Amino acid sequence: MSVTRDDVRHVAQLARLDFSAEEEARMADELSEILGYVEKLDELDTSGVPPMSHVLDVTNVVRNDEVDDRIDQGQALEPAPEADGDHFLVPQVVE
Amino acid sequence: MAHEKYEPVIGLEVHVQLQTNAKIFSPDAAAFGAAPNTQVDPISLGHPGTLPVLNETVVEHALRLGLATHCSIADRSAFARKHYFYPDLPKGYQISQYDTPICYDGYVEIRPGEQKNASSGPDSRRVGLTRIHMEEDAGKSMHASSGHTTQLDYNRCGVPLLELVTEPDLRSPREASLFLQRLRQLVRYLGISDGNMEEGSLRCDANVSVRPKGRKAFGTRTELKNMNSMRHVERALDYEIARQSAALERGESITQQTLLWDADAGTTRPMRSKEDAHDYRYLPDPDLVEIQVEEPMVEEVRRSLPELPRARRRRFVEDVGLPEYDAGVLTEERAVADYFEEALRHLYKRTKGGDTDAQAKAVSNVIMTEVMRVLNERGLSVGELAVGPERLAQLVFLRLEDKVSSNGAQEVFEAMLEEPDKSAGRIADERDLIQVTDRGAIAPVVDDVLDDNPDKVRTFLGGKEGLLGFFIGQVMQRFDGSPDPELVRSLLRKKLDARRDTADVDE
Repeated sequence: MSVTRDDVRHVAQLARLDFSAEEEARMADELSEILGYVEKLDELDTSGVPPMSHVLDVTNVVRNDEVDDRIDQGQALEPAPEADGDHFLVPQVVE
Repeated sequence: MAHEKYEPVIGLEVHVQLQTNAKIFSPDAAAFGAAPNTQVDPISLGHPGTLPVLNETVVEHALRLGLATHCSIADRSAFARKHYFYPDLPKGYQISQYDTPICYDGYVEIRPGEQKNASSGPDSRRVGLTRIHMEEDAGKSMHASSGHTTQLDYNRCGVPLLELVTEPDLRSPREASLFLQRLRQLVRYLGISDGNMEEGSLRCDANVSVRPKGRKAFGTRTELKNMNSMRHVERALDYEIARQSAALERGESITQQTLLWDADAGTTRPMRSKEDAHDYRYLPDPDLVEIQVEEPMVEEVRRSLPELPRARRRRFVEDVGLPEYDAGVLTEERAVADYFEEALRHLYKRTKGGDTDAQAKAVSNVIMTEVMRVLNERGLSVGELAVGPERLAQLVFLRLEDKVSSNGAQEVFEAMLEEPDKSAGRIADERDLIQVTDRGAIAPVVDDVLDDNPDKVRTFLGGKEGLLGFFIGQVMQRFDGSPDPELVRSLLRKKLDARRDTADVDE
């Protein structure tokens, strides 16, 4: 499967990444190569095999509905690049 | 009118915020209304290296709603990552479910013919549920009017949600609103959500299209967002249906797009196309293993379901003997229905039989008038009312035994609100509201009043029947206690008639 530069631009846009023209070209080549490698799997006949959602054959890992306050507001905001004491601050998002 | 030629087709997507102690994948508190960013956790903040673990109660709540809406339950169900970049979602994806929702293929019954006060035969209609799935809520962003920053509060991030998707089965804004009311009632009965739309516990998006009446194929639909009350849902749908019908009438086509309801302007406007780019790149979340729901678990949840509103309403009519209207009002809220049944149980203990239908109706009457009025006026829930079900039963019993008049009962009820430790009987006694129903005690006073007012008696007998009220008032005033006014009236009539007879003889 070959990944075009348009595909790269689309995925980059969704991930909010900005690539130069050379990077786009390189990404298209490298992603095509990776997908080509994985295409090997298509040789297997998987009809009748249910899709697997997890590698572990384990189900129902759950916890009780109990509150544990592990961090407070100060600890939450401490690593933020920008905060006002109560909130995280980010560049204005226009609705 | 363009409207008349077209039929609307509506499907809803509803998010129900669940009432749990902790969040869906982390142990921080899920309660509403805390100071910003005080209910957060490295997991809900999306810190690298953290691992989400599913809150078991969320699965139980999903099963409760699924079973109550006649859904099939998936025996295996997985979580998926739904990717989008927005600062209210620190991980860059929302954990949701994609191709294996935990519940699917159910329905909710609505009664479109049902009007609050009409007794017209309600015809029941099923609204199909495509699916119900579990997911996490996002945080809250606040856009300051000045400045160039957006503030973020992640308290809501990771609060558990159930998303319901209906089939395009609704045919009018009124039906959409009925469906939401019914769903709200159901989640409250099930105790899984407070169902409060204004506070965002119930959020609704709608897919709407119109088609010429009689045509089978659906028209092009638009998606409506941002309707945060029942009234807004109806208004927004009305507006959008009229807009689409008018466009088709002019020969224009409908553009498939997402529209925001602007409540202030009363119109819909398109969302920016960028926000509308649905390219979520779902993939199974490798951090979470599958949920396997086995039959014993389903049975356990089924056993724990409360009696649901429709069944309870039917029982109130068929077994308890209430009119359809009363049954509808009393079962609207589970707590009110519980209160009614508890009061009735206490009343039956006192009456030990008799006309139980009339007893139920008597309890219903005082709840629908006095109790509900006080709840509304004081903004209380029925559990907070100073008059509990047992004391209410005492009051209804006094009235049924004719120990107090209907006015007296009202006065006793008001007093009971202020004196939570006294029985209805004691309050009636202290306030001299116990009616004297002994004819022998009242008759002499009636005679006295008539003897003392010969002029008025003559006028009355001359045809001025309105004077009866005056005599009643006189008797009530002179009597030491509270005579039953009906008894006084009938005694007066009898004695006045007797005097008429003697007067005729005299002439």
